[in-house]
Amino acid sequence: MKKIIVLIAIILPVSMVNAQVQEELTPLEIKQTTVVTQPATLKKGFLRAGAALSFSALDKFFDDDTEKRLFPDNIWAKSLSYQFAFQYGVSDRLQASLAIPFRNEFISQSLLLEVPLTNTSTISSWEIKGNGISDIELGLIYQLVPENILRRAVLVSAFLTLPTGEKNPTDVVDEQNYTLPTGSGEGSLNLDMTLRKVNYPFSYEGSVGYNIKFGGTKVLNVGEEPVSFRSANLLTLRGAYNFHLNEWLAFQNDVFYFSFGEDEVDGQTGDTKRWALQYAPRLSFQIKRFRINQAVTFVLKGRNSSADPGYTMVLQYVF
Amino acid sequence: MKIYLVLLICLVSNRAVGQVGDSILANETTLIRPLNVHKGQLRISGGYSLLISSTRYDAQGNKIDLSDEGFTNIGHLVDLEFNYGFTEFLQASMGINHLQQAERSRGIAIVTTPDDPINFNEIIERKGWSDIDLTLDFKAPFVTRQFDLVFSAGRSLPVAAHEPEQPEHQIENSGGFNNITYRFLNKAGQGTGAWILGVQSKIRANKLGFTLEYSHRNFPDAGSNISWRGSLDNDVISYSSSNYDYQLGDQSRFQILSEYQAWSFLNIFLGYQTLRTGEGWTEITGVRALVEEQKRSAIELGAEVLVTPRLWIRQVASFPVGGENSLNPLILSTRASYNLFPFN
Repeated sequence: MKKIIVLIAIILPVSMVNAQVQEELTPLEIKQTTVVTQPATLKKGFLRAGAALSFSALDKFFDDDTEKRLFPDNIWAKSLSYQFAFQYGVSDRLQASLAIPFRNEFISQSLLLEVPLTNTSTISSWEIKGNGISDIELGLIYQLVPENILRRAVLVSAFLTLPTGEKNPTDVVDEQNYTLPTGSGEGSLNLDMTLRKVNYPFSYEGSVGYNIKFGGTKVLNVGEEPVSFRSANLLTLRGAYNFHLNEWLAFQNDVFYFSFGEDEVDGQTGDTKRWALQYAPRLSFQIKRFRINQAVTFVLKGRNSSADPGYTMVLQYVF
Repeated sequence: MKIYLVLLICLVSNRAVGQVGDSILANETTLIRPLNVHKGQLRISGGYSLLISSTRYDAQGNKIDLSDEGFTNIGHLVDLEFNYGFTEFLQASMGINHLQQAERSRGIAIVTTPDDPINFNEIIERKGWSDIDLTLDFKAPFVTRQFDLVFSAGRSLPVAAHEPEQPEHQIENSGGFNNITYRFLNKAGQGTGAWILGVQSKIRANKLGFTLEYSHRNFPDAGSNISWRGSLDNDVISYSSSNYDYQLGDQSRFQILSEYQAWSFLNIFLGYQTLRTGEGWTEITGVRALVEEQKRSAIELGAEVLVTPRLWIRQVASFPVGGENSLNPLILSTRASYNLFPFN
């Protein structure tokens, strides 16, 4: 009997050790985890590099009565932005990031001007473009409550946007001939708190964020003097429900609510109420350490906000 | 007790048949999948397409940049399709889509007196459900998996709204201009039924496959529609409608597609398709006028990913390469298909 107890006493700890070993993932396996199963922040020494491409066109907007309407003018505008992003695991709980965005803006418009008194008609068509670096973003994410198999992770993050992009129209000839700016002209700080829980094959996230704009001066209308301004601060609420469709493909569902404050121009505060409710389904393909994310963002409802869908593709690789 | 036993046997056998269906699907890559669904298989497919028109083609086939003409056109299409296999060689299909499209013309500014300039803009919106397409697809009973041949026949049912809603023209004064915006609200229905005939064949060799497809729609009957006119009286616009008849031209579509099964879960393809709409006529102006033949052709590049044996996702980019008398949009589409054996 004593021998049996001793035997059990030996086997049990060994078994527990084995069980614990099985829970551990090798560094290579961690680098191959998906958006659902990946650690809340990158492990120490890991580097994730990526490139993103976003496209949207100007077509519809939500008016002050939250009705979706088409822009009345025949203006045609499209925005293509691409960015290079790097994330690095400073420790197992702290992640630093750098995003370098570029913007390619295009606006075209055409007008037939008829003057019956002089019996003349003139067609004016113009295209305005802008291409260049936009505002660089630096960020830190910290696991306030570290993630483990039993506990939800609580993350806090701070992202600082620097006004590195050109803020004013350049090469101005007249109101129809100039180069569009690619920067906002003001810095901003985004503070965010996220709750995350992984319950394979699902993961859930909820977050609240607040973006504080610092303001600046820039030319708002071509040909006029620069004026002081401060864009509206922004409150963001996000809920995400993600799950695996198979071992290498995850489906993410993000719902965003944006509530804007008031813009300030030349010391005057506007009184336009702005908000938007968005849904962004995403597909995330995980091929070894390489990842392709695709998302379409639909604006479900809003007030004085864009109603156009946007497309985003992200390529990432973990070193 | 006997009832429970019978239910248990039924449940177990149903589950077994379902598993047989799964095992059939598990062994099918995109390349070797038959053109028809299997007996008892239901396929539900849905997708979203973004249509961006930046060029049009004139009657001589010359490419014209729409931004030079002050014209823009952008659309969003959601499509839904159901396929059900009555036997291994006969399937029924139903397709419907929802379109939302906006077309803007060049703005016109008229300066009669310096103090009273007028600015005109026009938006033609097309929005709503399309007609429903119902087809039966007969697969030739070949025993080989190297070759497939399917004949289709069906009808497009004109169930969708096709008469435009009353326009919502607007007049407002801003920036020193009297801005008048003509806003027309069209529907996506054709308003008249069509017969559908088609043939599709596929040849497979190792990891390669080639598909040829031809389909034709014939609108045997003339349709009837309404057109709206607005008149301005003391800053109030009143509307009146009038009826007119029209005849849609036959539509034909030809597609050739080559595909490569890179891995068991990934199929990439390259194709070419051309669409032709024959001559029709319309009496919208009060007299019968010819609607000229339209053509457009595009190169398609895409991939299909087998997520699970029951679920796959297909993404296609269609690049315009030619046409006559038509717009030819760049189309970016994503489509998912889910398969089940509900009645086995």
